[in-house]
Amino acid sequence: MAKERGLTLLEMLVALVLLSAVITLSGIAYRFYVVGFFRQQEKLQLKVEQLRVETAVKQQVLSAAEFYFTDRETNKNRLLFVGLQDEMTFVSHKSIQKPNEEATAWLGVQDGHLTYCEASMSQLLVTDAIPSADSLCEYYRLSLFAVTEFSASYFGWRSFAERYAGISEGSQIPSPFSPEWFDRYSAAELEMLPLWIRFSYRRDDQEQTLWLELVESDPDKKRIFMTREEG
Amino acid sequence: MKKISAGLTLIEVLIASVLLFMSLGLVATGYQQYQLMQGKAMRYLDSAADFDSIVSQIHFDLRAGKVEGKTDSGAYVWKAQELKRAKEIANIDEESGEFNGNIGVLVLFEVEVSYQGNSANEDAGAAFTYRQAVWLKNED
Repeated sequence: MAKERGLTLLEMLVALVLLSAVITLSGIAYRFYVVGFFRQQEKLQLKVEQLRVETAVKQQVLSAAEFYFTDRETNKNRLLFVGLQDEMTFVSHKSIQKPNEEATAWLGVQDGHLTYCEASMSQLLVTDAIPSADSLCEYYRLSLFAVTEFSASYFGWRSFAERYAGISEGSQIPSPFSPEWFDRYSAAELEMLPLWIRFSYRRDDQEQTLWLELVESDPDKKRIFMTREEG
Repeated sequence: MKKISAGLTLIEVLIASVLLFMSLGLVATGYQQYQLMQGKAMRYLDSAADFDSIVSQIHFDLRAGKVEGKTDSGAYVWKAQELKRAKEIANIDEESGEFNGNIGVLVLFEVEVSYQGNSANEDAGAAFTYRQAVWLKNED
């Protein structure tokens, strides 16, 4: 007759040790593989979203329009584009909020983040003065990413006359002048938009540079006049 | 009749282990492949984010007369090969019927950009080639 017996205490303990070891290892493996899998997935989605937002803002800068208004202080028609070392104000021919309208936009650093602000022309019509960053940010504000040491430089012609020097009806010779880099680019003085803009900044502790070519990148580049005639 | 209780035979245990390890191996390989794909997707996204900037910088360098170089970050190197060159026509000589023009030339380049990366094991998945026409001052 077969003798029926249960597990001894030692067998039971060995089985428990083995079971808990397997459970512990499974837990670690789960965390390593499954949690890592979802974390990577989230990172990827975040990157796609970040790329979408950054591309939208880059397009805004690239579509900077030649927008003219009559300056209240000087009473002269001037082109709206002010590029400083740490910020720039310009008119984009397509507002992010209202794609059928132009927008006055500002790009710079606010609260340690690269920030884009804009007001479409129906929200804030520019007629005789350049709106401040604060007034534009009241309408639309997009915080892009944390940056430090942000600086912008602008490559363009010193003046309209230098750009077209040498070109007349009778003869066409190359301009003896060349475009150059500026830390400050005011279209009111230089009479035209810059050709290239270069942003340098530190992001995630890494030096980064962003080049944008303004004039040749937008086939729909528009010239808009919001000026008034004297008389 | 005496009932003989027996566990699994050696062959059964071996087959079970082989099946278990095969399935574990498949899962691990799938996961590893997925991770590699994710890494590649990340690099493609980085390239997509950098694309406008890279092309703008290369255009700037081409206009300055360079035909090869590196981006500011050092992550990409590029080389341009001239495909075609044509003078700008300013006017036509009424007597000879010849084209005149010495203001500049339009040059068509094929630009090859390759990813250098920052670590040794990254593949060159983000390399690309494109064509760019550039106005250059006539040096004749």
